[in-house]
Amino acid sequence: MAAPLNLERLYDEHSQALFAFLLNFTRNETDTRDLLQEIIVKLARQPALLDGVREERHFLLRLAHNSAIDLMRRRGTREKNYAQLAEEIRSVFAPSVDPDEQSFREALANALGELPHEQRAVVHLKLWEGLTFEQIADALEIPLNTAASRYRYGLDKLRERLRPLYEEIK
Amino acid sequence: MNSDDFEKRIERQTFHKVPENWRQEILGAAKTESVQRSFAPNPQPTSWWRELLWPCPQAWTGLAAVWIVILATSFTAREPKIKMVKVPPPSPEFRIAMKEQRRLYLELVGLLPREKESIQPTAPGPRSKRDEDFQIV
Repeated sequence: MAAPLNLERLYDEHSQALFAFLLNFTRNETDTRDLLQEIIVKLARQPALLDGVREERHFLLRLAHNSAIDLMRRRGTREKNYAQLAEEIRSVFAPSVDPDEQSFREALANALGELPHEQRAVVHLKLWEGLTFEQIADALEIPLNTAASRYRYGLDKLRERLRPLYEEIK
Repeated sequence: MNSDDFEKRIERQTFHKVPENWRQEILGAAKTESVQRSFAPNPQPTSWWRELLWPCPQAWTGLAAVWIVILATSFTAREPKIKMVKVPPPSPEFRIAMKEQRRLYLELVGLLPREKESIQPTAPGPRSKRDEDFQIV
């Protein structure tokens, strides 16, 4: 019989990673909270979902990605308020005391917001979760080559967009 | 711009921390769900197909609707089956009539020799009377 699910441990170990991924994906704190709660509640309801899972973090990121995609579809059909999203982009990164760093973070947040969400998810998992392309492909249920190409395209766009500022402050 | 430096610079950026008050709220909701589940008489019977259709139930519903339309169109377009009705055997009179008709037809076409007209034997008239018929004028 499987050990009872320790929700506190699960939350403490993974909530920050899931929060960052979901916030970067949805660009909205309220949606992020709803999705995070949805995932934890789902696991409380069906603890068997974690049976046989080797990489808990990867599995949770997959759940988060699926939930976020679902939300984007629902949201996409009822609203496309990009101006509102652009306002919310600033809150993705923690504020920095260094003005150069702060302006870079804001520019990066905006540039990330302009990426298609498929590329943004891959870029996030590669840069901020340190996953390999194989792990990303597994987590997002996409082919390995797709993961690699999405990362390359996404990073190229970020580089292009941030080049002037990066050259100025580096 | 060095690609590695750029990637490293991006990697260094840190995201906001999860708001602390979320922990209590989210775990509270999860525990409530967990308790409700433990008191529930049996698990939801529909959960497996919900999992199957998730994350895009609209797409599956649309696909199912398309199939229903295709099947309905297929059924309505199908030709009706030919019904085999048991016909009672024809009456003897009808058979005779048909046989006669067939014979007449074959005769007309020329596949059967015409029947010789039946000559009714008549009684010969008196000789004197016969001569009257052939008078030379």
